[in-house]
Amino acid sequence: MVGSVTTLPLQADDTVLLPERIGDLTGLDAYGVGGELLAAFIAAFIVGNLMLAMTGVAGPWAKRKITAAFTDRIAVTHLGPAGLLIIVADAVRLLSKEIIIPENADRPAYDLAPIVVASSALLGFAVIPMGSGIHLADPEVGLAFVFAVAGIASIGLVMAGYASANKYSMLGGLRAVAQNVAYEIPLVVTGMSVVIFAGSLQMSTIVEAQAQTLVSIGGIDIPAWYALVNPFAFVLFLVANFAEVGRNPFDTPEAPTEIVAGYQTEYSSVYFVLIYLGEFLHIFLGGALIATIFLGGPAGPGPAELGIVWFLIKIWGIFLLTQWLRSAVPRVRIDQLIEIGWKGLLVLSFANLILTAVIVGLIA
Amino acid sequence: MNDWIAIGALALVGLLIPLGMMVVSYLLRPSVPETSKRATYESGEIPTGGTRVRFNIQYYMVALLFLVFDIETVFLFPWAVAYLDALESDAVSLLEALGPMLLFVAILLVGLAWAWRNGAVQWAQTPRQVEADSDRQ
Repeated sequence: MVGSVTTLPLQADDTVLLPERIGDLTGLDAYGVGGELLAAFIAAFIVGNLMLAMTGVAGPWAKRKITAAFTDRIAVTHLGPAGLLIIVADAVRLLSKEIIIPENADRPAYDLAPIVVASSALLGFAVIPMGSGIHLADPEVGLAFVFAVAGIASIGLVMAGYASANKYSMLGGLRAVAQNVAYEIPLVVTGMSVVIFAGSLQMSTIVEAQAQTLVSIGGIDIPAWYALVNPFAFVLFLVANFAEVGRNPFDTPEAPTEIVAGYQTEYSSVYFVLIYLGEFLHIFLGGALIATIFLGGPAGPGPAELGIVWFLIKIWGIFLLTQWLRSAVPRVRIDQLIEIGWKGLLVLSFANLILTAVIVGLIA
Repeated sequence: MNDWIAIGALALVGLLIPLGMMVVSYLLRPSVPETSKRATYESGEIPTGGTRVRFNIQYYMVALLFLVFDIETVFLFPWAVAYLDALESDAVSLLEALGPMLLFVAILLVGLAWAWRNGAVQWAQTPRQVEADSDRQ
């Protein structure tokens, strides 16, 4: 791909990655390596802030509105249209809180943990094709990269749990890692059953493979989204993903009624914001992954320029589902959580992988 | 352009955003030190004992089990990528493409069955299971 930069057309083309497009549009290409780096930085800045904005809307506003709707209440109405300005108010409020660091805290680790949690989640978005040309990078190891980067968050949670020097935090951190570890395998193995169809880990290839027509009913082409090709894998992935991001019914590591707030008990002010941000980014990263490998990525009716709209609709749909579950289902106990993971999902995910391989093999 | 430059750029942005927020917060927030404000939180009680508590051995067992299966998934990825291509090129038969993977997974599933039987993934036991265990010995 290096060297072909100057010959790329300017019009919206999904095969052109965002840094190249920006390099082209701004003329940064002419400045050699420095220009390339700057274009990559601008593109990364756009993607990073897009995700930050989504988290900003989701955390202080959408989450409250949705929960209120599910529990028959009215929430955030006072500031701005539909209470939207609460986002600004909350940002100022949370950042200007006094920070209280427990006296026994293990300092470097205690300070680093929130950064690790927030950064690792954000990094996963680098390889997600969001449509309308918003696609930062497309390495061949795409899918494995997302799993690898998302896994780093576990380290942050253990650091937070251990360094806080608090019994609740310690238990929460241990629970978090046991849970992430238990559901990582089903998640990856189920993701692998999609790789068998696409024959590649590259995100753009996986999305393209889903653009084919599965069946035509009454003149409407149903695309071969892997959620329709292999619904069993889709459901498995969805469940494993809820556990991986620690949402209900798998929010055992935080379990407010048992261990206060788990690993984030001793975090206040900006550190709390960062951990909270990381959690929301993880929910969105999970949604982005589901949208990309099961729901056709940015595909949808209408012109290709609408890609980002469809993509956002899909990941907000997954977010809505997590909030629905939060209001609707009870939490599982830690022993149930481990048993569901190791005895249920793990076995089912391997059954799914082997069945998929056999069926694909027989057809091919 | 190299993909990894862009990924590195996002890693940089991913660090700058939290650090920026920390700087803004540092400029905005007050500092009001009070006696025992920074004490370890234990639901409002005076904290007792150390915080490095003993924890369930099961966390360790599960982590060991994870290591084995995580490496397995790493080995399965190349197989999953090459599988369909290999079949369509007619270079290998279905049995040759599928057989080794099935054997590989089967060996690990035997390991899981052993761990399952020995209670490595069993957090708590019902009274009946405790009884059955003591009967076996």
